[in-house]
Order: sequence, then structure tokens, then C-alpha cells
Amino acid sequence: MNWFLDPLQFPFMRDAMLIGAVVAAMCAMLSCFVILKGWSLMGDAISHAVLPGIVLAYLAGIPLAVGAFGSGFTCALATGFIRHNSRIKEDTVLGVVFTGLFAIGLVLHSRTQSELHLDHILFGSIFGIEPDIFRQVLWTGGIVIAAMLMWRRDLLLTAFDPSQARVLGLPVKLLDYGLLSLLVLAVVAALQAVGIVLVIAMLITPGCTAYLWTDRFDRMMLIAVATAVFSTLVGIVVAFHLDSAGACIVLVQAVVFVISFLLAPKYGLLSRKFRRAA
Amino acid sequence: MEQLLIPFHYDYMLRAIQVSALIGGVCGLLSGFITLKGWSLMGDALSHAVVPGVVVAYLLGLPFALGAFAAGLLAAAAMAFVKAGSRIREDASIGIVFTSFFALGLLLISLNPARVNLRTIIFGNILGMPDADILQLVIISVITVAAVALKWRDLMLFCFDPAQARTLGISTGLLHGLLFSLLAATSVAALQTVGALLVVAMLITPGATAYLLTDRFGVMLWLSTALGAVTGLAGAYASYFVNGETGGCIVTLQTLVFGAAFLFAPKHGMLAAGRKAKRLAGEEAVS
Repeated sequence: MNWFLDPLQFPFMRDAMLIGAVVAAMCAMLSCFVILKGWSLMGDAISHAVLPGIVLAYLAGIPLAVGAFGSGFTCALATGFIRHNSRIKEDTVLGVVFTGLFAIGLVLHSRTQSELHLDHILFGSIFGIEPDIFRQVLWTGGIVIAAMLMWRRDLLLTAFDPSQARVLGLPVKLLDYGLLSLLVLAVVAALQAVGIVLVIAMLITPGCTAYLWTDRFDRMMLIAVATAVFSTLVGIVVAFHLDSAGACIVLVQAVVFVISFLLAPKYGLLSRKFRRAA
Repeated sequence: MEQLLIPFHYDYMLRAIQVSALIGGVCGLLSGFITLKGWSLMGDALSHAVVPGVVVAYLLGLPFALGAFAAGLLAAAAMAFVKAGSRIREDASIGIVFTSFFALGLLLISLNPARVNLRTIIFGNILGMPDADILQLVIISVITVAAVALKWRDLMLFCFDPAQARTLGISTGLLHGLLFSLLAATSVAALQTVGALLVVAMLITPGATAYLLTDRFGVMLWLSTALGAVTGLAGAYASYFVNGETGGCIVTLQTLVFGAAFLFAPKHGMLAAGRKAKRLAGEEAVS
């Protein structure tokens, strides 16, 4: 018991858990849309593409989040532009653009003698978050969560059935860009907790886990948020004893997914086998 | 002039340039198939999923290619299993599996900081590669080139039109396995060169660039190989002057070349397409 409770005495642990929980909830809600729309590669791409923006923002002395948002959004726009003006497949274009941006970010970073630790950007630094970043993440998380709650019906319809949504007069394009903006915001905030490299796991796994448990979208969101927050808290405590918080969080999420994959009541492997046998 | 030759005076730079050119060429060759097949996410996934295998191989003192290959196959099996055993879409199954593998790799590294260097895996180790590792890269390259040379027609048909390939009596399952194995092997090689995070660029960008420049598949393969090799060479060379990460320089260069092709390619470039549209509009106005 002490193994779990003792770490909680430290203030930095309580901060880490609060930030972790907010980031996890935000990403989990988004992940439901990401997996329904098939945007896994998009999430991966944006999370890498923010790097040059962060470095440039640092050099220019503006908030890092602003730069990250700019280059994340540039990645999405450039991909759309190249896709429409050439004959290359979308996934390939996305791959070319995000790796290009990431490489430029790496070169820029290695050219600047900065206090900007690449390790912290790549792998997160949840145990040492500065106060202003702390507030920034809480704000971003709150905004993203509120926006998702407010527009979840419209977003859901555009994800499931875009043509139906258009018939009903929903601004499908605008909603897509809105969701994209939320995704970029979430990546920027989640970066602080788990780092660029593993954000994508937070944006896919909880949604998939929840998708195995239920057919109703609201419940799916709830389950996604619950499993993500749970995994993050457990992951942070495990990381207190081992190391590398990002990796621990992602691995706990993976374990929860595997358990769901096997045991979920309707769509789990065992119940499917069982039903076939019966 | 003297200045420009400086990198060639250093043994480690010479080797880095040669190895980058070799790996760039081999990855470029494969990228022709990968862009056609739409396997970009798979390339990205594999290059991350091999990391725990590399770490375990280092810890046990085995050749890193062996560990990476085993991890790659395990990840592929896990992706197929998740996709077949549940109603989750393919891209999400790939995402779950590769991030979990990668996280496991990172955790293993952070538990053994003294024996495995994180930077080596994330950014590659082209400037300080031991001879044994270079030997492995050469072996991987030879095998890949030989396999493609023997099977490129079948592989091409498999990428363009699997149904047609099947009716011709070609085993698509076997070709799928072959292409996947080649992808796993080269992604390990590229991991050594540019690091896990940028492997996917080496495996896509040359192919995408070549696809803009030609309509013939044979020509495209030659072009993408040449592009990969030249950008590998020039990127490694430039990294000496830029004083930046070698991998970052190579991939930045590849992206610039892609951008140029996107704008100026004779037939499929944006400017050419714009001229064509204008001409068509002009003809319509005349008639």
C-alpha cells in the first residue's frame, strides 16, 4: 500500500498527477473522434510537426505553445495543399511533410545554443513542470474539454456520416478544422506530460479501449476518459519508482487495452469465441 | 576550395558519408514500393516497433539486426492479431501496437542507462558506428537489393494490383511477407543512420519525389534509389558544415528536393498542372 501512497506526499507528485489527469482526459475525449475518423496518422504527424515551431518560438521569445500551434497547423494545411495539387496519396504526403518539419526542427535545435532541452520536448518532463507551463496546460485542457463537450453531437455526426451532416446543414469543413485545431492544442499541452514521441498513444489507445466496451458514443467517451485517467495516475506512480513517466503511462494504457481486448463483454476476444462455440 | 574538402580528410566523416549514401540508396529503392502500396504508417510503425528489440539485443550482446527483426515481426503479428480479433480499424491497431512497443523500448533504455545510449537510438549513430554494425548494414543492403532485383516485377504487380497478381498465380501472401521483411530490415539499417524518429522519411520521401517525376515504374525505382543515395551523401557531407544532426540534415535535404519536384516537375508538378489547366481553359474559350 505504501508503495502506492508514499509518493503522494511529495508536492511535485501531486502536480504531476493533476497535470497527467487533465491531459489524459483531454486526449481520451479526442481519441474517440480520432479512431472513428481514422486520423491516427494525422495525430502522429501533428505531434512530430510541432518541433520546429517550438524551437522558432523559443528563438523569437514568444510562448512555445504559440509556435507549436503554428507549425502543427502548418503541417495539416501543407498536407492538404500538396494532396490537392499532386497525385501522391494522402498518407505519403503526410509522411513527407511531418518528417520534413521534424527534421528541420532537429537541425534548427542543434544550431541553437539554447536552454531548450530536446529530451524534455521528446519525452516530457512531468515531474518538473514550471508554474507558468502548469497553468497553461490546465487552461488548454479546460478549453479543449469544454469545446468537445459543447460540440460533441455535431463532431460525432460529421465523423460518422459526413454527407448526412452536410444535408442537415452542418458546416462540415469548419467542424473538421475545428477538430484539427483541438487536436493541435491537445498535442501542445500533452507534450509537457508525455513528450512528442508518445502523445500519439494518448490520442489512440483510450478510444480503442472504450470502443471495445460499448456501442454508445457518450459511454465510449466516459470509458475512454476513465481508463486514460486511471492509467495515467498508475503510470505516474510506477514511474516514480522506475523512470520515464511517458513510457510508463503508455504501457499501463496498453495493459488496460489488452485486458479489454480479451475480456470486454461484447467485443472481447473471449466472448466472441464463446459465442461462436455456443 | 580547401574548405570544402575538409570533411573528406576525416575518416569518420568519410565513412559516415559512404554509409549514408548506401542506406539512403537502399531505402530509396524500397520507398518506390512503399509509396505505391500506401504503407507510410507501416514504415513509421516498424521503425518505432523495432526499438525494444534493438535494446534487448544490445543488452544480450547479440547482433542488433537480429533483435530488431524479431521485434518487427512480433509487432506485425500483434497488429494483425488486434485487427483480426476486434472491430478496431487498421490504422488504430497499428498505432496502439507500435506506441506500446516503443514505450517498452524507452522504458528498457531508461532502466539500463549505462549500457544503451538513448541518443544512439533516437538520432542514430552515424559518426561513431562500430565496424561490426557497418558490416551488418552492408549485409542488409546486399540482401535487400538482391531480393528486389530478383522479384521487382512481382512486387510491382503486388503493389499496383494485388487482385491481378493473384489471378496470375502469384502468391500475394508471400510477397506481402517479403516486402514486410525487407521493410523491417532496412528500417533497422536506417535507424542506425538517421535514428528511429526519421527512418520513415528515408522510406517515403525519395519514392514520393520520384513518383512526381516519371510515369514508368522502372525509371521511378532508379530515380528514387539515386535520390536516396545522393541526398544521403550530400546530407551527411553538409552536416559537417551545418554542425547539425546528420539525420536531420539528410531528411531536410530530401524534403527540399521533394518541394522542388512538387513545384517544378515537368508533368506532375504544380506549375505544370497550372499551365495545363490554363491552356485547357484557353482552348475552351476559343471553341
